[in-house]
Amino acid sequence: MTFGYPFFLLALLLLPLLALLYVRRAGRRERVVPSLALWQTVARGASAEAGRRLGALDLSLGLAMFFLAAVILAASDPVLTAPAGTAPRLLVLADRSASMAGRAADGSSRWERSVADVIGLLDRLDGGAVTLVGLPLAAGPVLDGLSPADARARLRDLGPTDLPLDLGPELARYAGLAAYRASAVLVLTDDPGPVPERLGGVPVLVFSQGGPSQNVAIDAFEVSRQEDGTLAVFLSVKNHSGRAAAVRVNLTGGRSHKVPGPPLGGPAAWTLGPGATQTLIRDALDGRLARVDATLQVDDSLDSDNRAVATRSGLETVRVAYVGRSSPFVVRALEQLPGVRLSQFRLARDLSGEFDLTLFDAVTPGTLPPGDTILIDPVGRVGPFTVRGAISDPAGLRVVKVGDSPLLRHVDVAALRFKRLARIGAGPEATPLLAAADDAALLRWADGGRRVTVIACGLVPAETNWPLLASFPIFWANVVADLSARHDPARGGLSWTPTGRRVVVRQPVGAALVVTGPDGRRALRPGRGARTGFRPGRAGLHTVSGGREPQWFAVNMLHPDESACGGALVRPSARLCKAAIARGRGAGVRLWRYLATAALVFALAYWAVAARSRG
Amino acid sequence: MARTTLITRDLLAKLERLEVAFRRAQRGRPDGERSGTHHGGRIEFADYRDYSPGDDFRYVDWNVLSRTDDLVVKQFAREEQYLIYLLLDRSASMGCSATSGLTGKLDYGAACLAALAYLGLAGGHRVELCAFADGRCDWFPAGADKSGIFGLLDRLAALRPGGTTCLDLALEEAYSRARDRCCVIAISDLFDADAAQRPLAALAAKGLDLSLVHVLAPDEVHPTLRGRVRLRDAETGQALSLRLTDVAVTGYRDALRDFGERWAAFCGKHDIRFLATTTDVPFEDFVMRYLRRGGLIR
Repeated sequence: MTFGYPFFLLALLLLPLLALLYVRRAGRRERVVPSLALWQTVARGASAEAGRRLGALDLSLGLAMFFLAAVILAASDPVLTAPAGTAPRLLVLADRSASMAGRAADGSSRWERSVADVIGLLDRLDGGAVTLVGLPLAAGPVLDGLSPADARARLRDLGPTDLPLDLGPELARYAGLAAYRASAVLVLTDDPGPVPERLGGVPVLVFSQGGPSQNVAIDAFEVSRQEDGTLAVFLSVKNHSGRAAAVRVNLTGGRSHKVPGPPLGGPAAWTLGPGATQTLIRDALDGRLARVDATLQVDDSLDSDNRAVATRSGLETVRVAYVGRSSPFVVRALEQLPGVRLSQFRLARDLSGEFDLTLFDAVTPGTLPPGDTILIDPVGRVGPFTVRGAISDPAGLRVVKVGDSPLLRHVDVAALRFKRLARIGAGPEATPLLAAADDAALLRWADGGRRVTVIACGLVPAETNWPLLASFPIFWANVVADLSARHDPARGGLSWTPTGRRVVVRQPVGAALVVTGPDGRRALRPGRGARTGFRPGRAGLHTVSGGREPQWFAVNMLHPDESACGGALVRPSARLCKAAIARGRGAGVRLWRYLATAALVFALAYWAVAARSRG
Repeated sequence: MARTTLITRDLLAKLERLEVAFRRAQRGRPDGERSGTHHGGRIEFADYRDYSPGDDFRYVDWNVLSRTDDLVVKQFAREEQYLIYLLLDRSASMGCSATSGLTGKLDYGAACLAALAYLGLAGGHRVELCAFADGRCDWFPAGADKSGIFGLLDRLAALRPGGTTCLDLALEEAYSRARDRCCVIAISDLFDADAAQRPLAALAAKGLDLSLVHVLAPDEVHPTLRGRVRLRDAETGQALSLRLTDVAVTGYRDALRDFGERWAAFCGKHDIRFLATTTDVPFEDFVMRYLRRGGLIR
């Protein structure tokens, strides 16, 4: 057993002195009273309890001594070290962020060197349990109950991702796990600054490997459509290291998503000083380009931020079925939206074919179709909705937004009035989006692969002024945008997504989508309605197939913090950590909590004994 | 203790308006109607009553008749001189507590007796003080007018607690000295004074006006001491080791309450005024309110 603050143990010497004072004080108090006559009657009753009183005295004295001893011992922070041959329970938190791919002069990456240090430590353990957690959480894995040998194998299989990581908050998530499952925490990172000395009260050992680094990175990349239909590329490059670097920038573009196209003009060559930034703008590019790539040629330690790509997302056609009396306002609002292919049907039974969105206007279908559905002024009962009469106001009912729905983005409801609203009963799973008093004017309900939106009013001027307001086409544009999961559809440029951010994908009815990216091929889980998505951990072009047409998504590792960390000097600390582990420090069980609990129990018992002797 | 701490000038000024109340005083009999056997005393107007046939015309108030046409006769009370015995317990138990503005039960009792003595002297009665303890009674005749108060105050101020109580002896001596118009006021904590009940009963049977003031200290009523203690009797020196718990203290307080109730019942049975007080009651309040309420003064 070792003690964090052994000098507190000197206070134990006070215990005999306190006991002596206690006994002397109890025995020496004398009081002169006018007469003993009355006290003698008390003494006769009390003499029978003399033995018990003596016991109470001894018990209370003993409890007081135990309480003080427990407090003193807890203050000295005793640690029960593991017996020889027993390995500690380790929580390994591995930073798998993009900067961990930074290479040293010998070609080895920070990840490889840190992992080698940890594996060297695990090699010396005879047993015990290891919990391995990759950070950030999106990178995974989270593996519990590994043996040291298993942990070594899993660590060798892992590598850095292209994800960003804010290490401090991410570590704080695991304080509870560390407190209850670990005797020591090992953190592999190239950014040891935010790592605390203890996590959840458990000592933290940092494995940080690095050395002199140089990193030049693309910090900003944008391909936007100009008013004349041409494309313009904006590129910003920054030197994140402490010495100058020679950089050459190549831009390529083509009409195919599959491969990079030919160069867009000649390369740009710069020499960037420490911390310097240089921008490149190329405009008047062919508006039909489907893909633009930017590549840096530079001798630096981190590759993932030396390239960027932007692309069109592929399919943009949204197939909409309109069933009903053909409201000219709805039809016109939908037809004006680019990429919408509208099919009209008079009756529900006439509906045939697959559609991304089906509108029923004053028509009640027998069953809800798969995919997204909008019910306008429904009648009777359909799905979970039941129409129970109507409320009306000739002056027009006002409505307010409830919550923050993407369907109502930029939709101004201040001037919106409804002369009549159907009262629609729905289960608690239905979410009102627009409400007039206690009734909903707009409802949304989702169940598995279906999303149903209900508009409780006919969209004609006789019942509402909405078709005459500017917010009406905005609402339908939101409906289609929410449905199609378009990326920046308004600007019409080429888009990309940073690593770690969820990419939303339109999912045709009944389709099983598969995403293929630089880190492999995997199926996408069905989402709600016509949307699903994935969270890319690798930079590069991702292809989603399995639908009617393939979709492409560009993903870039353009996180300035990661780029800056990739160019920062990392001081090695593994040697110190290994020495600490070798001494066995931090590998034991800290006893202060147990002692503090015992002190609390002793205090309560003392109080109970004192109360009993008083009462 | 100095005289001025026993009784202040302010209190003296307030006492001027009061007098000792004697329960066995005879009222309403006009002076001269029948010769009494007692000497001394004086006649003082007491009240009016309606005239009834046979009343002596000498006592008709003609002034009232001329103003109101009401025929009333004046009534008179005879102010008779009483002999007031003031008995003060000065045993050791009367000095073993000090929590009030005065230094203990003895001083509190002495101050109380000083006030009563002043009232008696101011009323023209004869006052005699008896301080008793340890089997000895020290009698001090203070006289029958106000000038006697100074000697009495000096005597009271010189009292020191000590010895065992002997209230029974003091009462027996009072019994042997008492005459027909006699008032006895005793102040004591009554501890170990059960033997005094017999002479008290005898004095009451003799028809004397008796008052008993029971003085206790607050910490005798509500002991705050807890834990292991060694209690020593202030008078006998005997010791008793106890562990004072809340239960034990509650038992003590019950015993003390029974003790007081026994004395109150005894006094009620023998027509003796019984007043109980503690030394944390401000002395002036005790004299001006409690003694008046108890009927000792008016």
